[in-house]
Amino acid sequence: MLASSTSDLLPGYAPQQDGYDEAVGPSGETRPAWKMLSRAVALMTPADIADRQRQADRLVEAEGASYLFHDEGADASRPWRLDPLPLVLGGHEWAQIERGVSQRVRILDRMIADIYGEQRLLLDRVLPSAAVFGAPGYQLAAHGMMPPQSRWLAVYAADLLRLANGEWRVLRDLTDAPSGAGYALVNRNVSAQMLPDVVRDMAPLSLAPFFADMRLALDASAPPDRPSPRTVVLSPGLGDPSYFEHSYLAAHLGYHLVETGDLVVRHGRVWLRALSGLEPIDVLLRRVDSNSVDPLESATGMMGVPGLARAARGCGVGLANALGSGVTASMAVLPFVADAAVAFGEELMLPALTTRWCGDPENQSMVLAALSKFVLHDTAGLGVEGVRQAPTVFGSQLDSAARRQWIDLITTQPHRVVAQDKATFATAPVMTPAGVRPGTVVLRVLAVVGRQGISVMPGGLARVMDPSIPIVNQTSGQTKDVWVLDDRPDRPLPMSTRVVRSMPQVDLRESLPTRAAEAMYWVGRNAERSEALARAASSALSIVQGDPTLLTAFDGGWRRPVVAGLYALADVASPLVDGKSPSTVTPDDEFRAAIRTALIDGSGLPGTLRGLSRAASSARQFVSAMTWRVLGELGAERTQLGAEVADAYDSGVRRRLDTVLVNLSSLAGLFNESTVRGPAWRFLEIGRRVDRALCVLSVFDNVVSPASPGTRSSLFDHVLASNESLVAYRRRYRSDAVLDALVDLLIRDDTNPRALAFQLDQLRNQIALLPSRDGTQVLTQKIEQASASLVEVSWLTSEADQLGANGRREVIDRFVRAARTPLLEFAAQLNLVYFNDPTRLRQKVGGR
Amino acid sequence: MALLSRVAEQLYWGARYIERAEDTVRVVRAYTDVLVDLPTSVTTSWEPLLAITGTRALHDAHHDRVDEASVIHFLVADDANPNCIVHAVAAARENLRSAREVLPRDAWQVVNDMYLYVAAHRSDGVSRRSRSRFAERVIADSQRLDGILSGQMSRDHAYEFLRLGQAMERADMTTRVLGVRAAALVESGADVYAEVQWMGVLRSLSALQMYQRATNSPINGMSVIDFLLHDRAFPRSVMSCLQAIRDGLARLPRGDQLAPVIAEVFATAAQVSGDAVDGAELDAETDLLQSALAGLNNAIISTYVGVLD
Amino acid sequence: MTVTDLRVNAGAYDELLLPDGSAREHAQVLVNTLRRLGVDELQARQDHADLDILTMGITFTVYSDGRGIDRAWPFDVIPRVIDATEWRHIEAGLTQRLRALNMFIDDIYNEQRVIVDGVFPIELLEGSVNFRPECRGVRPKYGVWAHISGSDIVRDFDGTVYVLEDNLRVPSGVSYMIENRLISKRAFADVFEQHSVQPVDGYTDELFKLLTSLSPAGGSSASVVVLTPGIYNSAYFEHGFLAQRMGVPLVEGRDLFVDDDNVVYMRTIDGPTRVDVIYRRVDDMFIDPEAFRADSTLGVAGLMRSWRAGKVAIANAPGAGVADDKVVYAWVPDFIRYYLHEEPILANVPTYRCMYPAECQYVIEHMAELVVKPANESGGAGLLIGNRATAAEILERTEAILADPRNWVAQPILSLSTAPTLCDGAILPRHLDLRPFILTGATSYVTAGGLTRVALREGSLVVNSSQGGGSKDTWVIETQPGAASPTTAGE
Repeated sequence: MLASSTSDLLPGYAPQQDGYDEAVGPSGETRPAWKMLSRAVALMTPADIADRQRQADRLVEAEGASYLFHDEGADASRPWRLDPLPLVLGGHEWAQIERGVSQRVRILDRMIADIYGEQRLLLDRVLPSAAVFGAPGYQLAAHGMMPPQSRWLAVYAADLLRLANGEWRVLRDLTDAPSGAGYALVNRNVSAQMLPDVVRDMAPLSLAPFFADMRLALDASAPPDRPSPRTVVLSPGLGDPSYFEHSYLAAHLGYHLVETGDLVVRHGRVWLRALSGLEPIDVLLRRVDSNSVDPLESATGMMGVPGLARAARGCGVGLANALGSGVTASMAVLPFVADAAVAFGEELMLPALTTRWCGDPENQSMVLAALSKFVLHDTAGLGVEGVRQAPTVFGSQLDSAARRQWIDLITTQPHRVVAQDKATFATAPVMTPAGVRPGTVVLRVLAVVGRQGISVMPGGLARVMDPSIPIVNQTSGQTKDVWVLDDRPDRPLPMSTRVVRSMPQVDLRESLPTRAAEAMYWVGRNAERSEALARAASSALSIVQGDPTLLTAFDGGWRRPVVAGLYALADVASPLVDGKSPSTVTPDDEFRAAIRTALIDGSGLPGTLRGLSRAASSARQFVSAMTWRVLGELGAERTQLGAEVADAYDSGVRRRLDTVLVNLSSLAGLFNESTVRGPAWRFLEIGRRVDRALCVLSVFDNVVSPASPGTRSSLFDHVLASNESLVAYRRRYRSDAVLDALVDLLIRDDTNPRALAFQLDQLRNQIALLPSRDGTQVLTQKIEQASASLVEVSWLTSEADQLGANGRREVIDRFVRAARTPLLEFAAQLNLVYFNDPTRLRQKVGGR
Repeated sequence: MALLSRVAEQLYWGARYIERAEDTVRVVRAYTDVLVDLPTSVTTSWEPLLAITGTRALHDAHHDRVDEASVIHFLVADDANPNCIVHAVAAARENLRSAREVLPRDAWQVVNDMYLYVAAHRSDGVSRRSRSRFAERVIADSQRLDGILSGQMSRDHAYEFLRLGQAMERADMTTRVLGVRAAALVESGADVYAEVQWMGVLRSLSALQMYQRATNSPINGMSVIDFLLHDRAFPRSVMSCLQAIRDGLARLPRGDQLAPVIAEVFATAAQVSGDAVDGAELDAETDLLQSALAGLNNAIISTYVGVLD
Repeated sequence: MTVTDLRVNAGAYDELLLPDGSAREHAQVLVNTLRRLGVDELQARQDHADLDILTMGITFTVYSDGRGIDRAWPFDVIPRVIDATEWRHIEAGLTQRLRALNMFIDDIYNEQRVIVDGVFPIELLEGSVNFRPECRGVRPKYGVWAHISGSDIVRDFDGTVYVLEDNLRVPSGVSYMIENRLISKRAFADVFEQHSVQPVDGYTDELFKLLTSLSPAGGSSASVVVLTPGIYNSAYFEHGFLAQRMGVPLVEGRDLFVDDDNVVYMRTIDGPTRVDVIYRRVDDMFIDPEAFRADSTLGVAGLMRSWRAGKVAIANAPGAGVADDKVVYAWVPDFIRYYLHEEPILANVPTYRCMYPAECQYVIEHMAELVVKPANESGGAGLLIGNRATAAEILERTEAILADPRNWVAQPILSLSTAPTLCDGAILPRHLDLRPFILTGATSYVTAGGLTRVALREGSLVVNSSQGGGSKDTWVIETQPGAASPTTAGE
């Protein structure tokens, strides 16, 4: 394409000539809203630009946004990248968008109400029934439903594109469970940290009031008789690509994040499985699509909460958005919104892109005649049967086979297909390695509807699009923050400032969903296990490096216990056959294999770190922002460990371990620090203590018990180092390698945060503070039983130190058995009493 | 192992200085964030930061203007300000350095690390763009230290003195923030941006998220003040800090001698409340609390350290 | 450059290499590794090691204008390697030497048989700056005065090992020996795994056992403290290190006081607590303002009182320095024969004592071939190396000697052995010495290797860190298969 005269302020920035550019006018003059930003950018060197992008990536990562995706190992692609350059919109222009979007929400709401109610629009042929009933979002169950204040839409989003002539058009309406609010929030947090001066000087409208309005809107979705409604965010769960946004949004709004399994319907109301039993829920911010809400009443879905639809119809619970709202999200309905507006006596301010529904014979023949001129959508969203292909294609790009498929589809099921004219859309400056370049942007605008009216997020989520692919198919990619510069004095205030709101004091601290409780428990266990693995491995490595002969000395008397210990910590069956090494492996390989198992394989450290992140994300609302930064760093280390470390003796290993340990320390600090000492924290604490106790026992079982006279001091050293107690030991007992001293420090000493006794005390305290349930007292009993085992080792004579016939110390073995059994029973009982969920197959959130 | 009085004192102050550095950095960061959220039309002053850190007089002695540049530089890296972040970290290091042998090795490494970092990056702390990075690092290191201490250090007397120092400093800082920001906000009443401002108050004590957990509602001045003062579940609230101090002293030899002093501080804290209708009242009440805390500090020192040359 | 051309100075003895540049047997693995890694990789590891040292806060303090300035501990990643067989020989020699020295000190402060029997000239004693009359008649446990000592060992061009001096007062450096090991374990993780290196960090356990055994009260639960001059002392890092590793309080003079009962107490949060054993890192003259320098703020008033009354043990005992004196040094072989009826296992450097006119004459005439040192002063200060000195310096020194002959001794210039050392981007031979540490009580203990100090400037023989010297990790390596003792390598 020809370059127009380049920008006066952005040297080298040349938008395409035949299009519209957000920043630069046709003659290259910078548009007023962009002047300040352009000046700032013009001052940046390519190095600066690269630096900003790095910083952006780092910050996005720090929000915990990307690790879920990192998780999937294979493609470590980010869910999105934030372009450091925002999309800037002037106040006047924004005012139009704001008005247009508000109007659309009103009209769409009325359309939905009509579709599931009187159906006047259908009778008057304003809406063709084929388009409506064929829409994937259409819900039979929604008929006759009466949402609170007969308001169907609480949250709405639209994707907007700008035409070459500068006018905005709607690409599609999102009326079922629109996403983007959370992403917009993250983007703003990041860009505010990245360009503080520019933000300060340009003062884009703050997003904070919008989220206050969102709370109000959700309250308004509650059934009438609920003075201080309880809202939760309903998510499909970890598997969902935008799970991050769900948990981020929930945490920001201060709501619980739940999955369908956490909810039950009783007596026409919805209840949350929580620590204290079932808690009533008044509003669901629904992020699962209509088909997965209620298995009893949805056409296709098998998932959901049985009876939810009935509860909603009976006004037992408010859904945001109401069931069936998705009907207007269909591309087949899109072209008729304008007609509906007219029918309601209004003129649409913000129309859609020219969209032809092939259900109309005229359109059908026109499209068939010139397939290649259009962008084709299969509104059933399935893609053409037979061929695996996207539901949306450029007619021009079809091979003959696909072409035939489409022609066939259009002729046989025309109501499923719509065609939009191809057009060039507006571009905006985007930072690329090559410098600032124009990129096509689509703007997602969000709105919420409350009692006091409609509030549009001043800003939103802009995405940079690849023009060579149908926009509808593009999910992630690069995003932009959106800045609205609005200095109009008459600008409408957010409703949150217009109403005095009664202050419900629902104390969420005491309320803890079963899932979150279990998640916190696994956060604790995984954090603790990760540390144990890292310490044990690094101690073993450093000792062997100090004296390699240990590997073979005493024909493996040192090596085998250490190896066995590492496997035990990783919960992997040791290759040792009843304590003997298979003759086929060399001592060295045996050791390396053990290290690899503990540090590199999924079974070991990477696995536990992964479990840590996943568990944390299931309980984000209990995890502070700083904690996410640390989890982010751990995520990075994890991928490194898994990928790069080839050889156990690689000197990089020890350094990595140090970083991991350092971060785990920060984590421990943060847990003590900025976590409310509520039940959530208690389960975290319980998880940590249980795991640490089990780890100590496992070490005694595998390493201490078989320590033979010769290998003993080096084995004890390993035990102490693995428990970070060498200094403490030296400080107290100088005589090295005395069994009784070791036991005293790591088992009996209730002041040593590493000792078993200490863990048991903590567990006792925490359990005492948990809400009592049937079986709680059993938990206490188990702790007491475990404590009783300490008698076995109350003080150890030199006889106790003698090896038995089986080459092990009977006293230790007896003690380990006596202590471990009740602890394992404790863990099982905990699951039973507090995490039990009949509808859900038992699965560890920790993934271990 | 018997704990030397000198070492006890050094641990106590070491912990206080680390906490001071972290708290200051949090306050500065939060205040900056608030400004970013406020439209330019709202006039903002940097004086509160000086008031919170109680360094107004000192600042004015060295600077004739009170603007972002002078205040931030003064709080982060000004050699004229003994409480500035760089100096606080250095002071912590000096104290802990000669108490090193009672600390876990990693703990000393973190402090040393932290010192090297702030010394080398003082300018980052001042420049607005790198400020958040600087803050993040200081906070992370301080948390790291906390984690190492709780995870590796025996619950011995040395540990108690570290925690004592930390809790004292926290109680102190929370009180200051209440006295200055909160009081001011109560005065100005509910304007359009009150919520943003209160958010700032909470953020500066890393309490925002926890507050939202506690009260599922838009931010409201009264309840914020109550939360920061009396919420026993939130580790940084004045009450939890006092609780921590009381428990800690109970575990120390001759701790009972201090019981009356503690009791008095509790009493004073109980009198401060969110119902304080006007800012001046709240301000006055927090002043009382401040001096009560100072008294406690002196009592602790004289009991365990006595007079060293 | 690549490392394939490891240089050896003509005529010098290299610890790792034979004159033809090939590796000595016990250095085989290391040298191969150096060649394999290449200088760039080595430099990379050096940089990482330096970073570790910085973040681990391994420092030594240079005291200047009232402030102590921390300098990062200078460390060279390329280790110095010693064959275990040779080491066993040196070990025996050092043990023998210290036994004799302690018997001498004990004798001097009591019967003085050595003088009566005419082995040691009385006038030396009268002139000795380190002789402390206040210590006469005291009989420390086991008759041991110098419990902790660090003898400096060097190797001449022909490979002979000499003891250069015995540091019997407050020898420092042992902590750096241990830290060097930790660092080089990190920097050389992969190399370590192929070697069987004798561990060094058993030292602190041994030291603690020794100190406890000195308790006047007896029993195993003595209250031990390390007495430091404070954070501005150049060895403060070491004092803290040892206290922490032994798990005993690190005290300063102001933390202690002596009560009327002559018992030493420390100020703790539970009130005064008794102290049985003091490992003091403060010089004699400063430990007790009552007994010695009244202006000392580092000491504890009444400490000597308490010690003489047998209420507290002090290591090293006050006055032990009497045997740490470059003049007395010359007699050590005689002491070994006199007290132990054994022949010295380790050689003494021939020493000319200027107090004897004949020898003084010789020194003045041959100063160009000699190293002239003050009989007292630690560190390299006042050292004159004849073949490097200007005429002016020689003249000046001659006058100094004539002014106070007793204060000067001279020794032939040894060409210290060298070892490959990383000097910004190149591997060059540099001179080095070795300071092993010897513990003497009821029994003796010698560290495996010790602190290797290396002169970083070309040709320089000055290895003190305070004067720009560096250090290396020292590996005592078992070359005889099976002889290795699998003891722990610690953290």
